[in-house]
Amino acid sequence: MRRRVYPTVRLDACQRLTPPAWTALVLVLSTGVAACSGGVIGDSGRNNGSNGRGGSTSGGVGGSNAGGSNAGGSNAGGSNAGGSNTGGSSGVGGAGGAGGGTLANGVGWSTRYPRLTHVQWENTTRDLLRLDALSGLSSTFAPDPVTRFDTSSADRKVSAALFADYQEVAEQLAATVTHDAAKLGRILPPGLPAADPARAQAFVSAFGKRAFRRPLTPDETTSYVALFQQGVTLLGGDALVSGAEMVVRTMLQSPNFLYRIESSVQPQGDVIWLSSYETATRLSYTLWNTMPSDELLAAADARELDTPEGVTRWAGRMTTNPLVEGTIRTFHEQLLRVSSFGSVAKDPKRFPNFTPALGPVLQNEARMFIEQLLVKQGAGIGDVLTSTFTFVNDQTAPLYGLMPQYGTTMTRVELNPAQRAGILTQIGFLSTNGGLTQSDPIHRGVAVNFNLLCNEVHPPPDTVPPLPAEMPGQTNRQRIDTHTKACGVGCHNTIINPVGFAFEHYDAVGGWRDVDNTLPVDAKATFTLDGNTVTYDGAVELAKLIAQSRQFYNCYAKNWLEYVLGRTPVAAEEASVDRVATTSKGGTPTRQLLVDMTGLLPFRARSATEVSP
Amino acid sequence: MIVSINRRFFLSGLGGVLVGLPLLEGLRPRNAEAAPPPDFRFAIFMRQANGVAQKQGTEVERFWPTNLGALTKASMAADVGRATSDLADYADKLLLVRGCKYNFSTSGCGHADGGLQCLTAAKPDGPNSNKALAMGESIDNRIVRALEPAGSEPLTLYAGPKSGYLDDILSYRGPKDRRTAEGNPANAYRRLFGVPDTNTDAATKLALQRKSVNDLVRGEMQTLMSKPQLSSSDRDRLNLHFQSIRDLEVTMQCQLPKMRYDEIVGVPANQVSSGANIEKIVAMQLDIIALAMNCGKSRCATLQIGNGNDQTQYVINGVTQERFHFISHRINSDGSSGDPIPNADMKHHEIDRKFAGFFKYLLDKLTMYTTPTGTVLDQGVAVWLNDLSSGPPHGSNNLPYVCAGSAGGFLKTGQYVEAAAVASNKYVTNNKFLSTIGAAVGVKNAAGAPLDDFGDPSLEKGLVPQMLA
Repeated sequence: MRRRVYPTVRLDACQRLTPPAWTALVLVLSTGVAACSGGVIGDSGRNNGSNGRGGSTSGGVGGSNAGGSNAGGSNAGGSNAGGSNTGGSSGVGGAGGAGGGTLANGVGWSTRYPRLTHVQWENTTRDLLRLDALSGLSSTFAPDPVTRFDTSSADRKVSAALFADYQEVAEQLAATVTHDAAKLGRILPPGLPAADPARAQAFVSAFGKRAFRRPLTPDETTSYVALFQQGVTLLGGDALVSGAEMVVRTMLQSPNFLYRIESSVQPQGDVIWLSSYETATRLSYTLWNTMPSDELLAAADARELDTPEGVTRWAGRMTTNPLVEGTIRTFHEQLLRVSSFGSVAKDPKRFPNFTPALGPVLQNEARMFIEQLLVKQGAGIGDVLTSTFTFVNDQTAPLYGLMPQYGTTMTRVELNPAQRAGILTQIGFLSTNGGLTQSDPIHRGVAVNFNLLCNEVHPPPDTVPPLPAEMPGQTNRQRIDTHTKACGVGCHNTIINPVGFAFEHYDAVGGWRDVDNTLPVDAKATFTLDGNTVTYDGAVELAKLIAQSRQFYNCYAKNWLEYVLGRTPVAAEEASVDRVATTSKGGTPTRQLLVDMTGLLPFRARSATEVSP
Repeated sequence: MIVSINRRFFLSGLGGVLVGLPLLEGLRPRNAEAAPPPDFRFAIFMRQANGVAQKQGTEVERFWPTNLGALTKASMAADVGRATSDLADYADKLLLVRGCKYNFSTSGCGHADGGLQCLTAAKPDGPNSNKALAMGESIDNRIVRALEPAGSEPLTLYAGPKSGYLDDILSYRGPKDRRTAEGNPANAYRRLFGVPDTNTDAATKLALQRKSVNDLVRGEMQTLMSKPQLSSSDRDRLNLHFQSIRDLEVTMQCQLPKMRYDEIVGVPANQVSSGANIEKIVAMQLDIIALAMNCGKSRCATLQIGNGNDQTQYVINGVTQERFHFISHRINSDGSSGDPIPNADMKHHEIDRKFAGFFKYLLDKLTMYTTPTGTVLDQGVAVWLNDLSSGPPHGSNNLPYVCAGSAGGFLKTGQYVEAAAVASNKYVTNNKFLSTIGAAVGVKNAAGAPLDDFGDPSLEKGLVPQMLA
């Protein structure tokens, strides 16, 4: 059947219209895409000192001192002399110390009221109420907008619909926990007085501190004790049960529970240091995606989190907890868009075995691969691009050219190192960034540039002509090359195509091929990495070059900080990006990388300039 | 480990009257006290993606009526092969408007451009394709902002799968502040109407309990909002939350028949967004929208059917078709090249007819509810509109606008009108159409006159006079 091409200028601009979302950022045909090598953040803005890529973090980073790795930093051993530790905005403890040094710059604006994600709500209610398992009640919450990372705080708000959900499940959970003596016993403080109002006061103080992740103010305590005492009137029955139910029900609807509120407001220079409790909350949700443990809150009580050393020391302890593995997995899955693997349809005539049922298998393969390297082996991100093993079953083994002796269970296998290296050469990535019938150098090139190198790629102008049909005696590369030749140096020819062409040995579903349309595959290309021209033949060589490049680690660091901070890093935070990039490029295990990030200025402080973006 | 617990099961397993309280929402059939006022005006927008099969290139006209002017049941029925003829039963309630267009083409993707301007008439925020956002509020937001208590929100619903591509595209609180649509009718119903129950004593108790909770939480919100160091976006964030609490307290008592309610809550959560269920979900959402208008729950509702480039595989005459987006391209591809789909323009037409059927279903529901002077449909206006005008070009000239209802006599009905001379390639920008709808339901401009300046400030202001009664 003859392929038809419509003379339209608007279809191509969004031709990959199935997930993942970022693939719609395709086809750079415009000029001026210059920020492709280096330039992750750009000008260091107000940041003191020279923070050149690859340099030290001297001046303004805020100093992670873990393991003495803050070379050149002026914060080593910094005291809390500048800390505002008396009072705080809500009377529940002041902000942490500055740690000395010239730390006036280097923090971007972010909301002071990041709302719990639905996952965090699940985890937090489980831990706050000491449930045996997640309730699953958030599954019908009003959905949040889809964002690149689910930690993005800007879009998470409490609409009327969501508040209705919060109300309903708060009532259900409160009833569940308080009507069961054993369950209620788990949330009562030890040594609970026998009679009110002392009993109410003790319960409200203890449970409230865990719910709000800080001690209650005197006014708050008074209000909740009064509510506790209304329990019998409102609900009937036993005074303790009804009082506790009303308090639990209300606190689960309180903004102090639903938001990770950062109330500290006393600036020191250009920053506001987080209080010990606020730091504990950031630590806990960053590393565990749930509320602080009793031990961590006790550490906040003792002001152990007011120094960078204290923060990283606690972070180090927390990363030994298996909960941190979820954070590591989730970040990398979202970075690499694993949930979209297998979602792009293929021509059933050409690829009859590539069905939607493969999606979960391909996603599972990537998850097991990531977990094996980054969680179990303690490897660095570079290994994710270069390791030659993977996991297959009877459905995916043939796609790798392996003999079909595998069962339904995922089995670890070594792949041909001349053909495969890391996640970019796995079926999941390749097929998701593959066409209906052919390879797709444009999407593959955009995906790598966008996700792994942070090269900004813009959509084409409206005047872009349609992609021509395949012609006999022409490879797909030749077709794309001819079509995009006029693009110039700012887009396809130097940014997208050189990367995408490296994958030409892989067909639409990621299977290896040496011949395309009866002609030998040409996967050689020249690209710019770290400002240097590199030449390679195929995706294996390209993946290794990327894994050695500074640009890749800068991009990785920028994404990590975006995930951790819930917002895109700003220019003033370039030094923090550089620091994470340096650490990760050295092969530092991800757990330690997370520890290092908790010592950075943007993690421990807020911008003193409360200006919305 | 996640233990998935159905909410109802979760609670019913606990037993006891107190445990049951959270379920009780004390709903009664509509009565005089619950009815909205006679001058209650509303707008409903039902959005289709991927354009319609109207005349384009070598493809013949399969959407609009043959002739401009009066629409009658007979004239529409005679227009065999036109999707709008399926609405012949409502000929005297219809207002078809041709000659409108979108003004901006900056996002790099026609779907994004169209979807973002569909209800905003605002520019996309740049050449960001899938990541593009609208730079202005949408008309549903404007209507609710103007006519309902501060902080109220329009009813924003969805049907079909979400894929990460322009999932929530219609409703904006303001520049780059999009609103997420609810795709599960059970959730939407519960929020609007609660859960049917006749135990008014328990409901009264629950109301008292919730008042105590809300009083305390509201006080906490006020404390947070009183902090002087708040940024504007944080203040907006807290204000939205504060108003959300109040919204929840304002409940009216309406409900669907028990059998229909059971059907709505009976759809497993993991099947709600299945493409195979899209028609069922559309009907449920339209039931909810009609009931909401009947009960005065909202002044404006939107229903987005399918994501930015609706990939649903609709069933026509019992046969599952190719993805709608592919059909709209006429080829088996999301891009511009691929194997042709035989009779794709006819398939597109059949999908248009399916949407005409959806719209007719809505009209059936709105006319089912009566008022002292007519039906609920007469009080407001329902609009079937599209992100794009046609299939293959994915253009935005001659947008297909199908309105029903006069909004209390403000709009002309029983007419097919032309906003600009399409034959001469003249079009008016869609801000005028949206202003007209806004004006019809009672929104005013800053001077107190009917709304005539909605949308991007660079656009020419005004109404579409041909639409006015």
